[in-house]
Amino acid sequence: MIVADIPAAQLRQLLAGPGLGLRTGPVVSRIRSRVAEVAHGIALHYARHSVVDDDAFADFHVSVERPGNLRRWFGPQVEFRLDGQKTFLPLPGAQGFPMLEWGLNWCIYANCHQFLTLHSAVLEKGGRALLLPAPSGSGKSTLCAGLAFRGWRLLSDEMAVIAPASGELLAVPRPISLKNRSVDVMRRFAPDAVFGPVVPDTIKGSVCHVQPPPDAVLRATERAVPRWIVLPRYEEGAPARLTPLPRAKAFMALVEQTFNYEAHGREGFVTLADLVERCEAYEFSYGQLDEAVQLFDRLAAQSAS
Amino acid sequence: MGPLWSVPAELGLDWRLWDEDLVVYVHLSGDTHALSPAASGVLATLLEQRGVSRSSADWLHALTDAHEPAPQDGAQADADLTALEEQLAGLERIGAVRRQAA
Repeated sequence: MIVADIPAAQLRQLLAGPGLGLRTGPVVSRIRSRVAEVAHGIALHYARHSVVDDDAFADFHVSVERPGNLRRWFGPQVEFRLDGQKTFLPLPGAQGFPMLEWGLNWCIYANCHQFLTLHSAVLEKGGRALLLPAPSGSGKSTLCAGLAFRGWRLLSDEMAVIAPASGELLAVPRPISLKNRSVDVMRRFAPDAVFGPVVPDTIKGSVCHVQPPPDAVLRATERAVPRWIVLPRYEEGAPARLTPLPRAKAFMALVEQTFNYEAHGREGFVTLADLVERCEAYEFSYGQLDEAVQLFDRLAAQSAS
Repeated sequence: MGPLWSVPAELGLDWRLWDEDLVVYVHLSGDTHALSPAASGVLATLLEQRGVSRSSADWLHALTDAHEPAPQDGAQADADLTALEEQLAGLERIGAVRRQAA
């Protein structure tokens, strides 16, 4: 069963009652919420995701609810809980869905130590994966969304999940988070994509989620082999340009973006070093999304030939 | 006589040398370091002869034999030795080499 098979009223009942067991790649989250924006967001952005049975194992039991205090009546808020424990400060009431997304990201970063997890977008073409490790504000998510809606399979716009034993990348296809000006850029670039509402005044500015492409969700169990590490940087007006990056610099950039590198100890070093050795590494600057996507298509075509 | 320097076999290190850049993971501290080209060259040389203890002057001979002719004038040789000892001291601080009394 997928989320779209559940009528809206039943979905709200599930979320308000036993919770919705949602599979996103290797992770199952049981989500509870009586917040309307959360129910709408799940129905819209997770329409094609699998739902597990009520008694199935869940990695995370999370909720997004309105705190039961005076703020119910003035300045309503939402708060995220994992296993009933508050993990973040509450946010303004309209930010329920973004808070769910940020909370689910955190659940994986902070708890899934069977994997090495990096702050990186990941896409795949022809079985070869492109990692875009970068901090917020670098243009990573815009580039990721552009590629995802032009033939690259989305594994994640937010995290690289690496199986240490094989070095393969697992897919965690979830909504793509766009911020500020990138929302309009993507509306022009991929007008057929399914956009959620723009949520203003979040800690990251105005945020808008985009439903992941259907193919990304259908192929969520397919792993990919890392092939390219690219450090992206958006520069207004800049031509799209790839500059080779020395392996040691690429390695340290990955270490910097890895959430649980220390937890993996020596295995973390070996896994990332092996990953770097099987990849080409570049710095990449761009000012036009179309031009950037064409360049990556050429890169993939060269690699395939 | 000055101290002897080595990378003992029992010192837990993992490393990769890419072009002239060496990155090293020190088991004891759990830290990862990307070394400068100079430090990379020094540690790579000591790792090639892992377990061998030598004075800095002898390591300088090993390094210069491997990479370039030894300098002819004394002032240059002294400067090279000082530079090498600085690199060795830095590598010792991160736990990648050991110093022992001669």
